[in-house]
Amino acid sequence: MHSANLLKIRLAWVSLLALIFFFLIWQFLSPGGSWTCRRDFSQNSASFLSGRSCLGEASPAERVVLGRGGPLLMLADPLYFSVFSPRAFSHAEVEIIYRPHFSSSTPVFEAGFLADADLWRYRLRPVYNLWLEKSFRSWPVKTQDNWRLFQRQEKFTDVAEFLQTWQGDNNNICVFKNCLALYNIDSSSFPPTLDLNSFGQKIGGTSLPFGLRGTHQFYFYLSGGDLDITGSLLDGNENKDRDDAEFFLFYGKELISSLRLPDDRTQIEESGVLSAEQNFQIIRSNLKSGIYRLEFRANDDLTWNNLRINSAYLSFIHRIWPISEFSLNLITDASYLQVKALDPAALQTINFGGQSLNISSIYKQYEALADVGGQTINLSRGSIILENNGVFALSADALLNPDYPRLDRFAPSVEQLDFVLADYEPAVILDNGWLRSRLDFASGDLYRENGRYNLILSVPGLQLDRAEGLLEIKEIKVHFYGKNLMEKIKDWFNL
Amino acid sequence: MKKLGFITFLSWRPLLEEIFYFFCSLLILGGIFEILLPGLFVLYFNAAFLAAIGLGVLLLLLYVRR
Repeated sequence: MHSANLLKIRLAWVSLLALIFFFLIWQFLSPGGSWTCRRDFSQNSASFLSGRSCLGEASPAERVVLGRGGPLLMLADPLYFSVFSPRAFSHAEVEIIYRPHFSSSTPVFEAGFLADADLWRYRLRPVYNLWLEKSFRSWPVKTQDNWRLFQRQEKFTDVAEFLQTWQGDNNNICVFKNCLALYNIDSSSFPPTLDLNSFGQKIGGTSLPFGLRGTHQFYFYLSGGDLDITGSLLDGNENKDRDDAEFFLFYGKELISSLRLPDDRTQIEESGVLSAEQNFQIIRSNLKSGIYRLEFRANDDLTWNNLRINSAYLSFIHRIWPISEFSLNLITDASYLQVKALDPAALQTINFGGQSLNISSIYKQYEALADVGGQTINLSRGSIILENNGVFALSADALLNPDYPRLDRFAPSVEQLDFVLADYEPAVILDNGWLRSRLDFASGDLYRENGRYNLILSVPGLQLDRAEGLLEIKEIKVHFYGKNLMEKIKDWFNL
Repeated sequence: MKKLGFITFLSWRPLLEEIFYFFCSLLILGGIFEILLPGLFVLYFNAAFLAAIGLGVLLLLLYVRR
């Protein structure tokens, strides 16, 4: 071949390579300030020529079925996807086209991103709520932005009037005990559902006869004055991460105080060597009387032993992981209990409200349902994770739950409510029963590793061994957006 | 006939070499991108497919000596 031709060929492929280089840089910079990742499960886009999809495969794989031509069938909860973005963006809009086949056991479909990888916390937004879409359809509804107020009897002309009344004198507007149920609304600025005047009579404190493993949060009542919490931390050194502990004290929405105990213990992580107990005391003075929430953030290596607090009312919110070799009794205000054992030594038959539940396998989730809340739980030993949508306490006297009923899978029946307030955008109805929902996220602080966010789809109650519904997913589109390149440059140079 | 094919192949050898250099360079570029910006290169290119083509061209080049 002629050398002049060879030079032309070389120039051509080097140019092509340079073009690819600049294309990749362009994609990384995304100068327009946006990036869209879309996957249509009804089209088989995979070929040996193309690269990977920006939306990874659904996992765990056994929870989905994807036939030729789709759609993706979600058979169990939850489902995880990784979503690639070339750089971080401040906002993310998730659009899902789906067809729900839900029942009263699986009424809620939510989606979100992993926000805290240490504590495995997701930021979820509602996609579809069966109660709001179907059950309350016959109720008069008032709308203000995305807030929707459903009223059994039309007493309020708009949402603002209802909120004003509810924050003030709301004694005369309720017929039923539950009165108001919420969905996707932060109720910390709402008046508590409890009569606080009945509290404060009881003096004394609470000592937990067991340890608490991993992250926990609990409500307690202070009649005013000082707070005194003591305990000791035990580090199991079973995982590779450092085991810092953090405490956050909230009064309503307001963060009152926080404390961080760094892991400066000498034992090596993953060695399995137990640390010495690290004693601590948290004292805060001049606190107002009322209900407080304490959040203890720690990974599962840490156990909080010998918890003592100067409050007779102490209730653990949604989840408790008691560590004890002895039998223990708890009470929960919810009518439902979810149980999981991670340690073979913790396998046992537990008693929930008079019914026995045999926990015979580790890592398997067991459920029990009672007729009403306020059920006792008897364990022959601890080391078992108990979860529900209510609170757990040592005794009925110590139960404290200022939360409003939530419109989830354990919601009160329609007949027991007067009002429902929800921050919810109804799904858009498309052809052939398909629905489309859009969710907005502030993605600036979401967890992102190797260029990928972690997306979760959750339909609580959806399980492989129960035929209580499924979800067809036709398409997932994630549109990231934020500042464009010019705005970023202006920011850098303070222009 | 066989000899003519051999001569034809020899005349195309420089082109094959350039193709081989291109795929090698593309894979090196991809490797650098994957180290610095994980996930970006493999989003658009199937690295295994590129490597297979590069290997195929290399085998063709080795088949015929200069």
